[in-house]
Amino acid sequence: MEQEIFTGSSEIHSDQQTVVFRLADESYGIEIFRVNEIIRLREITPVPRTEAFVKGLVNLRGKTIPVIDLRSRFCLPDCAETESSRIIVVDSEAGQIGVVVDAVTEVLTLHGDQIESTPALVSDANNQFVKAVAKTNDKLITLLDLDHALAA
Amino acid sequence: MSAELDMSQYVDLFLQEGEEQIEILEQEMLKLESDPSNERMQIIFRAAHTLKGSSRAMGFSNFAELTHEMENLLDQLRNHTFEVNTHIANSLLACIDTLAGMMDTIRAGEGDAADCGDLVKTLQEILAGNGVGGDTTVVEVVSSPENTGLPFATQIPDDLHEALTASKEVGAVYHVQIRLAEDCVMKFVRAFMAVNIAQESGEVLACFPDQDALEEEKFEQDFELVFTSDVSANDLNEKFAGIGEVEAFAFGQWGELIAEASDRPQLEVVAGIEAAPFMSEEIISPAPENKVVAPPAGAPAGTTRKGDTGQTVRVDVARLDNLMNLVGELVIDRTRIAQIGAELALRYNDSQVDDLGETVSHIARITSDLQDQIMKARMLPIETVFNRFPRVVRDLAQKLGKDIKLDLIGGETELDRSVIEVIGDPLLHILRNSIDHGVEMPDEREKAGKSRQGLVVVSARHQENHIVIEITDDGKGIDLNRVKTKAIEAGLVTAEAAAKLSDKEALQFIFHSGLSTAAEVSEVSGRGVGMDIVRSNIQKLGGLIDLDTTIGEGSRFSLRLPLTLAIIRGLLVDVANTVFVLPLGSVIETLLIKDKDIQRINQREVVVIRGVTTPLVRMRSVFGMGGESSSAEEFYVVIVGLAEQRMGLVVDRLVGEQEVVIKSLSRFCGEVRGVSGATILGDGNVALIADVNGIVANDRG
Repeated sequence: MEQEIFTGSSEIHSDQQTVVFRLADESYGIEIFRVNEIIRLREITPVPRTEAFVKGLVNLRGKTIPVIDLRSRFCLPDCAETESSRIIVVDSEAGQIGVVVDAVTEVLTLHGDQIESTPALVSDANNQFVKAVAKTNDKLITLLDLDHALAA
Repeated sequence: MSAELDMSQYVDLFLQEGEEQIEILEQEMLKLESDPSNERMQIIFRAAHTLKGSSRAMGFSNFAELTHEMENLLDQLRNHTFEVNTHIANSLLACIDTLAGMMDTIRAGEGDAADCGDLVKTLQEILAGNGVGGDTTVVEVVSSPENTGLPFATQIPDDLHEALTASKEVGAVYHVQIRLAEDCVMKFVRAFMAVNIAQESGEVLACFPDQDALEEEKFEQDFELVFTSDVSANDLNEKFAGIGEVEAFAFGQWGELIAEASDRPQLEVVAGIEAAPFMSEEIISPAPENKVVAPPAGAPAGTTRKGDTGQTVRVDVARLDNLMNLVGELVIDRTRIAQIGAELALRYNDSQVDDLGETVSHIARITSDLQDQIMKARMLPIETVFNRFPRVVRDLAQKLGKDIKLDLIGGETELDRSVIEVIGDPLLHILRNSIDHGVEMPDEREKAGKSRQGLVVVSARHQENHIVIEITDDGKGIDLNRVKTKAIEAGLVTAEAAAKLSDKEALQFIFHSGLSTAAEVSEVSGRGVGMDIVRSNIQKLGGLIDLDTTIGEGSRFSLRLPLTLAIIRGLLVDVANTVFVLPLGSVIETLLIKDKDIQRINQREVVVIRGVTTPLVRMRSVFGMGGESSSAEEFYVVIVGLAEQRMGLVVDRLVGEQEVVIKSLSRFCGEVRGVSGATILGDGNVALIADVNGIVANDRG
């Protein structure tokens, strides 16, 4: 699936449905068409000798799918799982993958004019994961480049 | 001409049946050289003929041309105008290869692209060179018409004759025979035009071949109708004459056309695109790629073939895989329900809970049965793999100038599709090795007092829950001293250590990467398959490979494989609070040992069990899980085996035994050392399956 860099001008994806979730105190978003389902946290079986951000495998209705921890991926501090923690199951090249998040807040329809490419100033090691930034009335949502975020 | 008609549904059928015919062609061709019986010749001829007919109907002119030439040559062969020799066999085999190649391009949507010019020339030269006056007329398998008034001998059987003749008393009965032009593309359209004429003017009494066959074009060019009608004979004649693309037709009153009682042949069906009755394999098998395609919508539901092997149905492989997945999930849930049921029984003493228990038991039994049946449905005879061998052996032997006889035993032994798919290449590699390095040149063999012809035997048989495949050759055997020398040269072992090695241990070096075999043959090189890869592939399947050899007399490779890859019995163990599954097939026994029983030799922990020193491996370290369980004095050790190797795996606790469905580690995780897969336990949690073979092998290496 092609990932297009948003330039702020209205285009095909001008009205984009986005699943918004929270990690630490930040809001992030993934396009809804990449999301298969959202499930509650469950027992994750760790797999030895995988990278730190790969938490392990979970049972999704009889299929074993890997689950990653975005906090660890983004080098954010760890935090305990809470009632609101969820696993977002997304589609990727390597099959289905689960992403652990602190909470899924909402599904928004973002309009082209709300989306801007990341300002050059805010560039750090994590930039490759970020596709663009969206502004809503009350918050900023970092739109993730899923493929980069999931790449090993 | 309705050339726009969508032929794609017919292409599938053409490919599927074409492949079967090509396989028959090849098999019989190979056997023909040593056993040129007339029956075999006929089979080969018919196969080529069938291919020609169906490719023509599909418009694959390249394909049709080549098969046409082959058919000409084969016709001369079966008439004994000349006999089969190596050149002819080679040429025909080359044609078969080209045909197979065209099948691939057709499947890829590129039509029958191939340059057959050379092959056609070769075939024509053979024909001409043997003094036969280039007879290129097509020989139909239809019995030649004795009654010259008719385009072909009628195919209406005797008993119908009487009935039809009787019906003449009631009204006018007409008989029409039509032979369509050879290059007619939409045969069924033409046929139906004729049937329509008959139906519109009256009632059809007999139709050969029957209407279904007409619709599927299961005929060459000829068909005939018998019908009643009130319409005048002249009008009817005109209507039939109006059908285009007809090479010849005859129309008349019933009984007039058939002058002699003698020209009623047996109903030998003119083989069109029909599943030939001489195929002896189950329909859920042949094609080298194990491709089974569901019949196109028009075909009769389930192509059944009555005969010695009973009725069979073609099933899409994807469906079987789905069924297998579903059964796998059922197995998981069955275990889960059993567990919940047991827990409930502990908690409540209630007749309903008892009922539940009973029902769960029943479900468990049925699920086991279902599982068994589905697994059997997925089983294919190993023959499908063996079928590739004769050709390979023949070509390789020819190339090397060796004389080799190949014996295939136990082809009917069945194993799961998943295993069959991966077992072919390793077996081929071993076979090539035997021919290349094992069997000597004829002269050498004669000097050694052996027959000039070498013998290679590939056999397969069941043994408990496994299949044992052996490849034996009566060649020169493996020189252990040379192996040891090479191993020392390659730095795999020191000279002193090498001297102390037993024969069995020395043989293991054959499987080492870095120990190259002499002069790789061109077909083998470039593929990256060495004996080390063969062994690791077999081990990944949960199998074993072993080798026996006697200098001067030959060698034998034995492979032991599980019957299926999908479901295994596992021993559940606890390592650092994580449950792992050890394939029970590799487990020999479990022990509880005391700390003081553990000794150290060369910095390796070992334990002596009934006199055998067994190395220990701590599972915690294998999986990189730190920490030792607190001052434990006792340890559970699972003794696992790989061929003659024994190893003790130290775990924290033994949890239980369970049948598990193997799920792959997702592509995302990739290859993880020590782990061969994952599964879902009765409690719904994921557990990793330990790669016991890998752990043992790695340790030894």
